[in-house]
Amino acid sequence: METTEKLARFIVETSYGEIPAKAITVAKEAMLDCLGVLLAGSTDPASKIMVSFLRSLGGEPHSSVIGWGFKTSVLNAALANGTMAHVLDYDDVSVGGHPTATILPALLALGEKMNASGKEVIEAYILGFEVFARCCEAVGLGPRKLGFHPTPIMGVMGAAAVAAKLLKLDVEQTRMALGLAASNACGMGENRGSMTKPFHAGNAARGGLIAAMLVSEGYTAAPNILEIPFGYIYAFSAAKGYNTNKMTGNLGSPFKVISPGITIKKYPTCGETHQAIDAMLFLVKNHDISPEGVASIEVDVNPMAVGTLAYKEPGNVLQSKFSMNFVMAIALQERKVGLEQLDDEKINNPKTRELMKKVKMIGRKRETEAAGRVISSTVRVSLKNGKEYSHEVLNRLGTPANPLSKEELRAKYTDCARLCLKKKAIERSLNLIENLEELKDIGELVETIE
Amino acid sequence: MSTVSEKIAEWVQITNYNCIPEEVLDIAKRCILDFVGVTLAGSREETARIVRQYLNEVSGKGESTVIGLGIKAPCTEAALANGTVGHCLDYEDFIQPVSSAGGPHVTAVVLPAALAVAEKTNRTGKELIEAYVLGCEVVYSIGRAVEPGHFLSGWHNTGTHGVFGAAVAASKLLKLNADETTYALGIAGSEASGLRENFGTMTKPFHAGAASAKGVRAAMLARLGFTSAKTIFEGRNGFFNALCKKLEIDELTQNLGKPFGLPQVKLKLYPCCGAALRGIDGTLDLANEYNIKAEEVEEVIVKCHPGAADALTYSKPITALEGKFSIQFPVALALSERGVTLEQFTDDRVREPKIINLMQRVKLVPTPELAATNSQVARAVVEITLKGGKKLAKTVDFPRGTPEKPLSDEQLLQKYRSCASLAISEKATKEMQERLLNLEKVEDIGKLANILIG
Repeated sequence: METTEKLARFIVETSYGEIPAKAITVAKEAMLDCLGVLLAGSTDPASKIMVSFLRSLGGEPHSSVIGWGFKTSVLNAALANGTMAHVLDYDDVSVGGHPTATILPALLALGEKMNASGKEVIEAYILGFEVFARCCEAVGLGPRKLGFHPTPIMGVMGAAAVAAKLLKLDVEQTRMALGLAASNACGMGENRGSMTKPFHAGNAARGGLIAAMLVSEGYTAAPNILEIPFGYIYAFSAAKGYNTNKMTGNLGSPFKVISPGITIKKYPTCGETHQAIDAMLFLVKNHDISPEGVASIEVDVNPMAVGTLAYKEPGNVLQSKFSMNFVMAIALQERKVGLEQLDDEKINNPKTRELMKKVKMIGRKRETEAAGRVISSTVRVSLKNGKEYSHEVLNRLGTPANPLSKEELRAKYTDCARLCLKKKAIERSLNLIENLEELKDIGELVETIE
Repeated sequence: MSTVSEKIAEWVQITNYNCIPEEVLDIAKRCILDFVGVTLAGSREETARIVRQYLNEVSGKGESTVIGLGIKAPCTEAALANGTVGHCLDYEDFIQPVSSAGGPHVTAVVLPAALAVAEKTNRTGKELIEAYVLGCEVVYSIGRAVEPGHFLSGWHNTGTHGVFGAAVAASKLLKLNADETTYALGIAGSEASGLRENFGTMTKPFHAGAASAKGVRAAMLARLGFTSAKTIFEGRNGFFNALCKKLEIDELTQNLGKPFGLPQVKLKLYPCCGAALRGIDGTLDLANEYNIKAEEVEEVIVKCHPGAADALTYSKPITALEGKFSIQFPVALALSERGVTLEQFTDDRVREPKIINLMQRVKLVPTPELAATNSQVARAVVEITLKGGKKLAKTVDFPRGTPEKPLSDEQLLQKYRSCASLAISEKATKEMQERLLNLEKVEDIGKLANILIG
């Protein structure tokens, strides 16, 4: 059996009963977190434009645009919800991209239309995540090196898997859904820092959905896209061959949601800044450092991150998320990096600007002996009085190795959701997601957050 | 210093209908007429049935016509449908900016975007032509800049280059300013996709439709204030680096419209694989020249280069679809009917005893000497032996429909009519032909589209 067929068979044949409790817990946490972030992102300018564009097109009212109180076609809803889930760059990450912002919008949109149960949603999420993570591992750093934004490249495949599962496609159809989805895979890294980056997530959700929907009607596509010479792998990694074990070895043992697992973002900025923020907050609090006393700040980061964090003098909120200079300055000033810190006024504050100039980012590889892959980040703060403090962070807060507590997860959800939900709706939705496996119809959850 | 997309956007701003030479306008109208006909014919295919079902499922505002399917849809979905259905017979035009790479089906990706937006915004025929020509020019110029490396790496340029052309056409019709057009290109660049491995499946025509819809969406989002990278082509994480092996940037920024590329477009006279075209032409020429009757034919030998022979895999086709990838079937038709037209591509025809008898007399001989070299274009030789022993031969360099041997007006119109009549009435076919041949005089594309709905 070849690679695409093996993966498709795994999607078709795996059922809820075979999924371990740990995987279900992780899946529910990720979905809770993503919904919170989506709600917070729903009023962002990019979200507003997307919603007004989609409203102008109309569409069969099958699925809800979260936070906006109206329904549209499955595809439009997935596009809107995915864009809103990723617009704050506050959504989860794993392996090499943002899985849930691409998978969950496809799942919610189709699940609502089909009245899927909580169990079906969890099952599909875990399988979609499996495909996302395996595509990530198979292409490695390829997409990033070539210049693609990795998230939509994997996301479209994960979304296709989710939709194939909900639509109960057979093995042949699932293979073709992956084949069609691969022809929808796109998204340039160059668009980081613009509204088009979050659009990539929504577009991937939509691209995966349309692939499975068309195939379910009899549409055809290449059935072997994961193994043929000029297929998915070559397009996005330029590699002529690859270790297909990465795609289909040990499927489900363990599930990818368990290992490598999912990192929930503690801060609403690019993930590459998080270790440095952890380190800076540690230093500020432990040594009670005041911004006025700081002479210079040096940050060692993963060399691959230097290009990603390109904005030395960010001009707006979107760019500030990709600015090591800004996040270091604001962490130092406010001792917190949350949604309220990302604000045009704060970004343009002369004092913050002054501090930003003192930040120097250095791409430095420092691998730990154990995993050989975990890259640490070190922050060194030099004071005007000559004192120097330094702190190194290996596993940032929110990673599987240093996870957020249940309370921290709930606090982040509440903090995000209160931007558009009343207290009662927040509590009710929290409860529904934490007990998702008992929900008979996902529509009930969507109603509370719509 | 302007970026590549800023330079393109600037050119799109300042170039209007009056800047387009008469010859280019004429070719544009021919391509548009041809595409409309082929799409109407395609609307009776299985691909169109699924697209129709999909449109029912998503629904939305009925603002733009879906050709031949009797419905209107949101402009993005209409572009998706028309591009997909228009390309599903592989019977519409294509262009090869670089001869060693397969060319994008330029009209199938640019025109549906232009048509959908022009209808929604009630633009004139001149505005439609203008937007279509500018979109095609950008697709052509990207091809000159990055082919053949891009195509040979596995990308289907109808999708990957086409998305920019569709965005340009939609931007022009939506009257975006230079900044907005630059953003539309930036969004479109993040949507460039389509893998050649999907050739031979319905997903190939989907590339055309999907790219067309993406171009419309990019322009609409940009118009509402959506932002993107201005360095989408040349940036470190941009289109050139990710999807292209070769890059001649001046082709893209210095030579737009100098001269326009559209006259290089190739129209197909026969509804079958491009590899069969020369053999069909040679057979038809001999049959007409010597007034050969089918029953006089003892044997036909078609010699062509091995690449072409490879694509013609069905020596004994039993379905019309197999007949498209066969030399035996269209040559038999050419001898028996003196024409190779869409209505003859039926399963019944392929199985007719008279046709089977003729097909058995046709041999395909792969001949390496006939391949293209630096000094010689690819060619085919047709040799017919009559029952009396008389031998006739014909060499074909350029099939009909190429710029070197363009279709006559009569050929073009006959093709259009045979295609369109499959989906719309004779009256509507005539009326549409009249309007499209005088497209520059049409005042409102919205009213024109009403005839196309089928």
